[in-house]
Amino acid sequence: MRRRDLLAEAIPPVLSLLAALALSGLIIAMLGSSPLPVYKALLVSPFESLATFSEVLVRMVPLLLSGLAVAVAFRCGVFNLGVEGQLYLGAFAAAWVGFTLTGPGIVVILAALLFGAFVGALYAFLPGVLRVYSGASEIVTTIMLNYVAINLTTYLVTGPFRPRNAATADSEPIAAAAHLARFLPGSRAHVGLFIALALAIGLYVLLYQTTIGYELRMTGANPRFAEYGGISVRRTVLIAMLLSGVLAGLLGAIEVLGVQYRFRSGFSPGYGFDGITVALLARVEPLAIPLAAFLFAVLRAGASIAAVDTEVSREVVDVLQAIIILFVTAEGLWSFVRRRRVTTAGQPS
Amino acid sequence: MDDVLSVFDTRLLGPMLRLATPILLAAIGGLYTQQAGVLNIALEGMMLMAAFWAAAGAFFFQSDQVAQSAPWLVPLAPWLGLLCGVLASVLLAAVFGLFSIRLRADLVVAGIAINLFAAGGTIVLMHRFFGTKGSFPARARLPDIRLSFLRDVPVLGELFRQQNILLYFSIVIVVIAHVALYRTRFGLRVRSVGENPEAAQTAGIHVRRIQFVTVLISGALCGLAGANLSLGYLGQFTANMTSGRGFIALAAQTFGGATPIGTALASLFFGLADAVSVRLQTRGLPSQFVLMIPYVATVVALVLVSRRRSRTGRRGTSVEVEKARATP
Repeated sequence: MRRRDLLAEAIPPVLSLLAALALSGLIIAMLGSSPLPVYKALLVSPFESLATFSEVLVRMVPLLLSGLAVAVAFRCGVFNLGVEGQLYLGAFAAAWVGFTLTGPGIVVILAALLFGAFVGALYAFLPGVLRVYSGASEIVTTIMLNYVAINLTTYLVTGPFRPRNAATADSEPIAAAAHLARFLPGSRAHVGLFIALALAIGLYVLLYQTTIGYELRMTGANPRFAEYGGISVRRTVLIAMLLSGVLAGLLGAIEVLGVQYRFRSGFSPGYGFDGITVALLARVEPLAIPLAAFLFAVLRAGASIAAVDTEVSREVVDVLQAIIILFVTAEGLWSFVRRRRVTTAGQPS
Repeated sequence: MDDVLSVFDTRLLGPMLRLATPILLAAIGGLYTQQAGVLNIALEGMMLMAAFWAAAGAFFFQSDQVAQSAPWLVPLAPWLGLLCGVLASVLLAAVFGLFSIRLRADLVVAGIAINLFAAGGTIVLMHRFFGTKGSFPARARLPDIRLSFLRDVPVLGELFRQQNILLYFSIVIVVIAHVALYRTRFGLRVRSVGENPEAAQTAGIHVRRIQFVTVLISGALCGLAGANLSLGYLGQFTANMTSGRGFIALAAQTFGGATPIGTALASLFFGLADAVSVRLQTRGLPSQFVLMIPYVATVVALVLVSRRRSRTGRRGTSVEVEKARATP
């Protein structure tokens, strides 16, 4: 029976993905291009060589962390649309540690990760507090704070932290000792992937094995009931936002330590929003998020290949993900799955 | 300090009104759906899609093909562009309504999807038809109206010296919204759906249909807002040119107490924040801080207004919608 449940849970995401691929193929055809080379670039090309496949693993890290960051807030019934801003601040904080602190590599790395997580959490805490104590919608405030964070970090690297003779809006490079180790020779794949996977397991344990996780899920399921049951909804929402911000900050820090090696203004191509798709595709289950992140990393890496090989620009994946989100969350489309699940649950096993 | 205060003078009034126009149009759209209990995050995406199609439409109707086959259409190009923008936005609104109201996708999540669709879709289209991901010219603008008889009147002269025709549209739209929501049967139904969907259902009102209609209205108004961005002053489309204005519009609607007049005043406030931001960019301040002003102003405004409201109010709307969906 558990296996059937799992199957029922997997049907909507899989069908949504297929529907999105079909619809975006239709859109590509309507634009006068052939969808087949685009499909090939999106789904096959990333697996063709170690070089392209390792890029999938590189891209998977931020998508996985962003998915977790979005998911932990979702589970508590709050929308953190500010992962983008939080990851920028986390990235800058980590880069700052990386280019100022001198010491053994592991110390600098840990300090950078911690400071990135701390700053990300702090920046997520702000809309959390505004939501809880003044009722300002976190949906709008987190979006607004994204613009503030992106501008603020750009100011920091072009103003007070501007390296001498800088031609671009980049910070100074971080110490070479603080680079995260790479695990596939000749590729950019770095150990941040394992940190991210560990965090996915950690989030699973937190959500399902701890009191705070229980309170989070209860608050998300029904805040009034949770309050009635003795859970402080305010406190729980704040904790969810803090956790979300920690993950977003770590995302930024790991990107700096593992890929960029410096803070680059405007480096994120919208990881914070990709996380929404990843989380929803995984049905907000921490252990399914790595799978969804991998899938999405394939599409993102494939889109870069498609942009070179075909005349379709890489933003086609944004269209694809919009369609995925619409389909996967449309309860009305999946009522047949649910009905079936109810009947199977009713049968004696 | 004097230097900072000197930013505020009557010459800010014109830009304030100009920059308030798109926010106001989208905010009135958000107001209709809010009154029907539908939280509309999709304003941003609908506006962006409209901005693109308005500019692309205007561009198309000035092309050589059109000039040869139907030359009389060429002078109408900006207006046909406006029409394209509104149609595209209404279509996107219909998709939003279909998924969120009919197929019960979460309102916020469906709204996010619409925004992503517009952000990615406009770039894919721009890349395909104009070969760029940055911006393209519409080669036309919607006309400005100069009320030259007001030229020497102190404040009004600055306000209306040179404003786009869509500003005057938007004033009419505020009045229409006020009348429609508070003086017509349709408005009564909209408000009763938003107030208590179960009671509305019992009274024989088709809750989902009313909600869907308000979503379409918001689409049309976001169409005007988007066209105002691309065809109003710049005469071009730029990637992601809405830059959060849809969310600012949502905030304006909340800040304005969910009434048409209040929303108009709130939009003026955000227009002023925008105008100050534009003005300060020429004053040697770090441009990044100046660019933050509209966003910070939005957060501050939301905090100020929300403190006064009951805390259940905000979540109430989406809960009510859930309830409305639960009823057969």
